[in-house]
Amino acid sequence: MGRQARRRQARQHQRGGRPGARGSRPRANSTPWWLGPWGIGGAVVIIAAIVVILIVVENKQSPSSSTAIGSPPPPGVLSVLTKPSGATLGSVGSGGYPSPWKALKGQKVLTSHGKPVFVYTGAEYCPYCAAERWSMISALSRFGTFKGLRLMQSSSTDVYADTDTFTFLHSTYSSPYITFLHAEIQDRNRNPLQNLTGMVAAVQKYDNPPYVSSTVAGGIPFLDLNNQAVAVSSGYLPSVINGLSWKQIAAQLNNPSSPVAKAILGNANWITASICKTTGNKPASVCSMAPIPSLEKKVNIG
Amino acid sequence: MKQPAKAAASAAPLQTDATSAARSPRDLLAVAPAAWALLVLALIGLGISIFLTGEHYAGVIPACQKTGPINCGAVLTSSYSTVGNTNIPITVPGMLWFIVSGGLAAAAVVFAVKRQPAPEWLVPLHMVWSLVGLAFVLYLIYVEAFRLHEVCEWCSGVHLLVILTVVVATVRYSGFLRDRYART
Repeated sequence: MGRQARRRQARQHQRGGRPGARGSRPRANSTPWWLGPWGIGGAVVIIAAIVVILIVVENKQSPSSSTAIGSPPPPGVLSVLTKPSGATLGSVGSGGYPSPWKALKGQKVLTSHGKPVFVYTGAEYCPYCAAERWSMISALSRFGTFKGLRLMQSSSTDVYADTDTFTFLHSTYSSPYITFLHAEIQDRNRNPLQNLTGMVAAVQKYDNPPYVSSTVAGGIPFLDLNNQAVAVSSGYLPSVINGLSWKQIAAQLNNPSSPVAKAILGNANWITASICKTTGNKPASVCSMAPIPSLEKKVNIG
Repeated sequence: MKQPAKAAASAAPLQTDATSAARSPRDLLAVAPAAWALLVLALIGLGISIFLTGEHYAGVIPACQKTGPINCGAVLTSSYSTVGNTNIPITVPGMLWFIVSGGLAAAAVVFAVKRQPAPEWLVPLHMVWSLVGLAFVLYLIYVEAFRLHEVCEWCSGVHLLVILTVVVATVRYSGFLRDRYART
């Protein structure tokens, strides 16, 4: 049997008839109405209507933003973040999070005025930067003092929208143990903010493979600790703090079993342990306090 | 009556889920090309869905990308990446959808290869199932475009596969309808 004949037979068979019996089969009534053209056409119309409604509703919503953005942190928020109790820190430990650091081997050590250098590159719109700043401020405050920190929220139109945080823009940091360099490259509306210069620009090459995983390469927040270790992204997901106000987040920091304390302080403990490695465990009051010594043994830096 | 019959004949190449005396691989493919195409689309989609489920459980915290909105990690770890308030990745319903779609297509292929008439409901049911998938995909595209402002390239691949499934299922269904009304 030729191919054409076989196809003809197939079509005849699908119509339910024998060869030569075309059209002899009565119309099948076994198909329910909703599987017919009216049912399926109706489904298409419903889907199209839902799409139109969603788009109209979305266009009517205006992005939210807090009037607190740009203002100094409320009383009590910074104090609980920068001066958590030793018992809380010891109880939190790593918070169940892994070390965010990846070691850089054989790179030139960064120093400024004889002190190790900690470089941060981020952006105000970025929710992962928003999460990481909480831990960074907590950790760095154990070695020095911030001034000029202001409230900030991540972008209203990005994942984890409007995550409450701070901005390093216009802030200063002083420490006898470590130099902190920072750059917020875009504001919360993704407009250009600060240019990368000097050491901050120089370390950007480490934000690429093989120094960091290809899945996060080129990403922010990017942390470089003295060219001995780098970290890309936050130590925890912004979902932990997204939807909470600055005061609500601060209030949970006193509870070592809360997810917020485990995330922010656990990540801060990892950062602290890494800094202690670069400062030669100075100051001892910070670096000898639990859980830092035990975390230091697990931190892998160059 | 001439016009429907002509229409049925023209639709034949895409709706030949029925039998033939096919034996060679090429002939097997020619028996029910639309069903074969749907089966291949489902298998590719199932593979990507399994990969994305693995990525969801990998636990890698993504970063903000300076270069643009392509950020699969951000999408896969967002609050929209799970079913409701559960921890079930949204890719699991996707896997189930492709399994059902592949099963329907495989059934059509088996009926065709065995030279048995397929049940009347098979083609319409696949059409409905593809529309269910389309509604799901439109929602996910909406979430990426309007809620997350991030795009996952692998997710977009899955969306494309579902849309292609809808296209093939629609052509197949229109042939089915033409053929059905030609018989009346």
